[in-house]
Amino acid sequence: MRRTLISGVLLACAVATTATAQTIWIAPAGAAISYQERGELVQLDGFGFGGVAGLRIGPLSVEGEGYLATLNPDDETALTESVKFKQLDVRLGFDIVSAVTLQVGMSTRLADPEFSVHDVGFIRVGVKSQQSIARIAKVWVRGAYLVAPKFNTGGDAGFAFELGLGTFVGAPSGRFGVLVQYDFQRIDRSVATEAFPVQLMVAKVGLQLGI
Amino acid sequence: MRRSLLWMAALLVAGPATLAAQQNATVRQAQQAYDDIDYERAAQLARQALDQGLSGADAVTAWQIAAYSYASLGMDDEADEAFKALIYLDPSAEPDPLQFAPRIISAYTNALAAVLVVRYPDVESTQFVSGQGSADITFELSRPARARVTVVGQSLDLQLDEFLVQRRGAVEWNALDVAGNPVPPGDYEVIIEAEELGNSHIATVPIAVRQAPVDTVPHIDRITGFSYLPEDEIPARDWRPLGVAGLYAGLSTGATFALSEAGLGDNWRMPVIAVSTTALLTGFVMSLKRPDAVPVPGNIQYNALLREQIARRNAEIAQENQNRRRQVLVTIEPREGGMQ
Repeated sequence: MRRTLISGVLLACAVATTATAQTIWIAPAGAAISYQERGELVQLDGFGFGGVAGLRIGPLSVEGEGYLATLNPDDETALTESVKFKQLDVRLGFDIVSAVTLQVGMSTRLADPEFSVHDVGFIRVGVKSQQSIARIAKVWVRGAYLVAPKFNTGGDAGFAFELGLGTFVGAPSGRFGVLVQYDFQRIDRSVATEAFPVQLMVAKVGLQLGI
Repeated sequence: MRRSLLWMAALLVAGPATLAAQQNATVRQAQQAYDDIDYERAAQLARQALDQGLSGADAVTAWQIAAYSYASLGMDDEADEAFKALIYLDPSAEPDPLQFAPRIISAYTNALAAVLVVRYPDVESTQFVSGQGSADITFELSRPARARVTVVGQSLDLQLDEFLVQRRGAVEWNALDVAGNPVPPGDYEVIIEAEELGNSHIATVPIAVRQAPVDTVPHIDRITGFSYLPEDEIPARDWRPLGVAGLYAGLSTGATFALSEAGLGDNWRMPVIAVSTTALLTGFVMSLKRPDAVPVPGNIQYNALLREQIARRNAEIAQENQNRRRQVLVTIEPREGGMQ
């Protein structure tokens, strides 16, 4: 799992450092996270800090997202202590038509203490559609199918997807602006024949800086 | 008798107006006698003055008084002799037919026909780019003869033309030497020589030739009658931003709600709704604000063509200026001192 995380970071860094005259942006962001899983019912909510970074070279793009957050269990949760989340997402994109980008990527999420909740890693294949609604604003929506999620606690995943929505308002050049987005993730984990679905929502508000 | 009185009255008016002011006292007396219609005394005093060895304007005036007086007295031979002397001295000193008696005009015409002189030589004051223009040289001959026009000065001795002239002759000079190069600036003389059966006459017109660089043509930044068009325009306000934001927010949020697991609580809903609302609000505000300018392809293409035309014209101007910098502007004008 850690190897996957390191590989993702190295990939994002490699792409960023080879960039020359392209569009690069980074957006430090605050994150609100809500996590649920069923087994013994787990409901965690909390806040963290992370960021979004990206690079675009013509029709090609790469986006990396990550956050560190501390999530606290609510009253009905079997857990009694807070859980620290580390998550990294990488998406490689190719514009297939105007405003539609095919995205493939990977994601990994680690929990501390280990086994307090599931660590998970998966590959994603999806589509992102982005539209400029004004020179200073754009919105996007994305959805992806999550391929073969792997859990550190075992089990298999059937249906798994993620959905996202984002808005950017800022300078026409993209040099600075405000970013607001959420990503919703559901993975239908099952052990033997019993379903133990997992849900995650990450909302981010960040200040985007571009070059 | 009555006609003679009328002519005499006319001469009283015409005489003083046509003869130049005199310096020589005898010429002045002759002039006074002529004005007093005492032609015998006028002719006598004019002859007397000429015997003193007059020159210049006094000599011309003395010969005029003598010639006009002899003609008025009907002394045709003496008048003819005096007119010929006057014509050689000043071929252009011609009595005005409107002011002088026909007898005088007739005597002058007869005398003129009997001699060969170059009259009214003139070089047009002009300015032209070397090789692209010329100065007109004109003259008259008193009777048909062969004329030769030559320009001399500044080591140049260039015969422009030699031809038969009935009365008026004209020659063009392009201010180029034999090799086709512009003649150096300085003083020149245009010599017009008439020759016929051993008789000849020469008239000279002193001229000055000056040279200056040819003005270059300024480059242009516009073409008259054609102006640039705005390359973008503000479209009419519409609700597209709200529509797009609403579509994306509705699609995403609706799918999220529809595909979420119902038994896992609803703490995730508020952030999702907040982000969706932000997207909708952004779309709404962008719909209300003044629309962004959008490019007008037709105008952009038109402006590109216009810029191309201006660039092409400026390239031509640059080429033309390059040629002009190798050219000289030649000015030709008669010099002070007049014709001889």
